[in-house]
Amino acid sequence: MNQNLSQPPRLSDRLLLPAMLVASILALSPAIAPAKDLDVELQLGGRKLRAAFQPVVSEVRKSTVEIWCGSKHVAMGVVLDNEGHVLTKASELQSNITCRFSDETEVRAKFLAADREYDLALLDVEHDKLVPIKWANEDLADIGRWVVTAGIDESPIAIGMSSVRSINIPKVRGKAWLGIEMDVATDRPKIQSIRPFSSASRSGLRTGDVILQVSDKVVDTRDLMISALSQFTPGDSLFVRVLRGSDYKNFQVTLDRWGKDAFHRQAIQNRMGAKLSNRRAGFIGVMQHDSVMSSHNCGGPLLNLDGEVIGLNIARGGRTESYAIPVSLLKERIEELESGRLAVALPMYILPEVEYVSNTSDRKEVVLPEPPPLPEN
Amino acid sequence: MAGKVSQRISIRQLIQLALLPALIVSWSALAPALQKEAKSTESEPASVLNKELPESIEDLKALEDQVQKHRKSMMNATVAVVIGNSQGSGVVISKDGYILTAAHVIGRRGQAANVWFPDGTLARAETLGTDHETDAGILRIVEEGEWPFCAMAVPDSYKVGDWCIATGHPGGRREGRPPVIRIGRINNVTPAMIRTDATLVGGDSGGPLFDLKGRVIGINSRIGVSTSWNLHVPVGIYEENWESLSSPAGFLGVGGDPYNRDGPCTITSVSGNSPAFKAGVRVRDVIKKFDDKPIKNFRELVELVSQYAPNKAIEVEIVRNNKTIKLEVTLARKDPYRGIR
Repeated sequence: MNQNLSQPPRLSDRLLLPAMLVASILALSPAIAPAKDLDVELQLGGRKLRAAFQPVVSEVRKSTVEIWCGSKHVAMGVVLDNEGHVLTKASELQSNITCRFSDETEVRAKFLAADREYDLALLDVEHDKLVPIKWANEDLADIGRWVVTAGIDESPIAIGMSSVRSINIPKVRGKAWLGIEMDVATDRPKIQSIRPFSSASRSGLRTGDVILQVSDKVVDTRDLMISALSQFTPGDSLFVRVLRGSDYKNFQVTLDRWGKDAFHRQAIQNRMGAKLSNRRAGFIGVMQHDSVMSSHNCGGPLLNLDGEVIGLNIARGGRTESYAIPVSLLKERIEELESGRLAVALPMYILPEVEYVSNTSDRKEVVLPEPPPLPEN
Repeated sequence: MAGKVSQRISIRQLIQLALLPALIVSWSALAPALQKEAKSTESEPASVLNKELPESIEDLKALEDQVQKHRKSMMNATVAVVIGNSQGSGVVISKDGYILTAAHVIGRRGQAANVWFPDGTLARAETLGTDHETDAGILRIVEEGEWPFCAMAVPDSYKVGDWCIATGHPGGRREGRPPVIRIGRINNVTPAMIRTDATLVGGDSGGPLFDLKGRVIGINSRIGVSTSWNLHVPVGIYEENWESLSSPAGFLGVGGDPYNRDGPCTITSVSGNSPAFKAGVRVRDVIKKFDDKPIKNFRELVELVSQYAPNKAIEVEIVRNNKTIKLEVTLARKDPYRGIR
C-alpha cells in the first residue's frame, strides 16, 4: 500500500544546506538587533510547558512505570492489574529488568510473554501498592487534539498533537545488513572489518571480535553465523555475543536495510532529533502523533486532555512521528498476552541470562542455551 | 551508522545555524502590527493565544478548540506537489488555485506539476516563479474550478511564542494518509525565516505553517538537527515578490539540440506564429545573446527564457550568414501542457 517506502521519492531537500547558508547571508544585510529566542522552557518539550499538563497525568502516573535494564532506562510501561502484570514495549528489553514506580520504589520484573506483532511484552512484578491503569472505553483517536505522554513524574514526559487517526506502518522489506566483513583465515566468525555507518558500527562491535552467539543460536563457524543472521529482516533487533580478548561481550544490534537506511537522505533526516525506536515498523492500525520523544519513552500511556488513556506509545518512528496502539486493539492484544497462548520462545532481543518463565499460569523455568565454550588460546 | 553521516551534516548545519541568531529581527519593531491584529479579531480567544504559558486545562482546551475550528480548512488546502520524480507539499491560498510552495520543490518556472488534494482529487498545475535565495516558490492550478484554500495572513502578524500548526506530506504523499498535522510555537523570526518547533522532515517542504486562526504565515523549507530547528519562509516574502513569483514562464518558440552542450545555440525549428517567428528568427540562425546575456548552447537558452515573464520585449542577438543581427522579440506565455518552447 505504501509505494514511497519501497521506492522513496526524490525528496526535495537537496538545497537544505545551501539554502540555509544563503538565508544566513541574506539576513545579514539588514542590521537589525536580534530577537530573543523563545525561552526553551516554554517550547514544546520545555519544562514549564509540560508542567501546564500536570493535572492530566496526576492519576495515570501512578499506573505508569519506568523499565530499566541494569543502569539503562529502556522503556515505559503500565500496570495492568493487581496481580502485578506490567505491559511494555518488547524490543527495547534486555537483561536484569526492573520497574520504577511513581512512589520511587524499584522492583525486579520477570519476563512473561511477548507479542511480536505489536512489539508488546508482559512482565510480572511484585509490589504492594499497584494501581491498575484505566483505559478509555472506546477509541478516541482524533486529529488535532492534544496528546499527553505520562511518565512517573508529576509532569508528563512529552506533549504533542494527534496527527493521523489510524495508519499502517508497513514492515521494512529488503535484505538485512549487519555491515561486517569476516576474516577468511579462520573458520570461526571473526570480524575483520566493520563498514562505516552500518548497524555493526553503531552497536559497538569491533574489529577482531569473534562472534559466538547470534540471538539464541550458537555459531561456531562463519556459515552458521550467516545462516543465523539470515533469519532476520531489516529493523529486527537482536543480540550478538562476542569474544573480545578473553572477555565475553554482548551487543544489541539493529539490522539495517541493505543500501537504504545507512545512506538514504530521508533516513538521515528522520534520525535528526530524538533517538528512534529500533523496532518502528510493521504496525497495523496505530495512531500517529507528533510528540517528540526518545525510544526509551515508548511503552507507556498516551492520554487526551481529559485524562483518558487513549493508547500505548509503541514506537518513535521518525523526526515528525510517534505511534501509539489505540485502546480497542490494545485490549485484544493484552487478552492474547495474558492467555499464555503466545509463544514464549526467547524473544530475540533479550539476552538469555534473564530468568524465563514459560507462561503466566504455571511459571515453569525454561532451560537456557549453554554459553559457548571459550575457544582455546 | 547514519549517525555519523547525520553528525557530519549536523556539524555543518550547526555552524550555519550558529550564524543565524546574530541576524535575527527585533520583535519590538513588529509589536505595533501585532496589536492592530489583536484588535481586529475580537471573536477569537485572543487571551489564550497571547499567553506566554497556558495556565490551566481550560487554556489548553481553548487552544485545542482553536485547532479544531480550523482543522478541516487547513488540511483541505494542503496539497501534495509532484513534479516528475520529485515530491513536496504546498498550500492553496486562493479560490482560483494559486499555491505557495518552496522553490526547491518546483525548481523552475514553466513546468507541469500534479497537485493532489487530501480527498484524492488530482489537479494539473504549472510552476510559476521561484526565489532560490529565500526558497519561495509559487505554482498555479491550470484547471477551472473553485479550490479549497486558506488565506495568507498579514505579513508579520505573528511573533515569537505564538502557537502554530504545520501540515504537509512527510516522507512524500501516502495513499490513504491525509496531510499530517503538527503543533509548535514560533521560536524566532527574521525577515527571511520563521523558526518553530513544529517538526518537519523531507516531503514537508512547501507545506504550510498556519497560525491558530487558520491563516498561512509561512512555508516549510528546511531543518536543523534539533527537533526545534524547523525553518519556514515567511508569508511576507511571497507578498513582497508576488509579481515576479506569480508570473508564468515566457515562451519563445524555437527548437534546438539540447544535447549539444558545446554549442553554438543553433536553431533547428521555429514554431509558426510564435514570438520568435514574428520577430524574424529563422532556422539555422545561431542565437548569441538573449537580453544581452551570452548564450552558449540551446539548453542555456531554455533555462534563461523560462526566467522571463511573457509580454516583455527582449533583444536577441543572432548570427546569420556570418552577420550579427539584433532582433526584438516579445515573449508569449508558455503553456507547459503543450510541451512547446
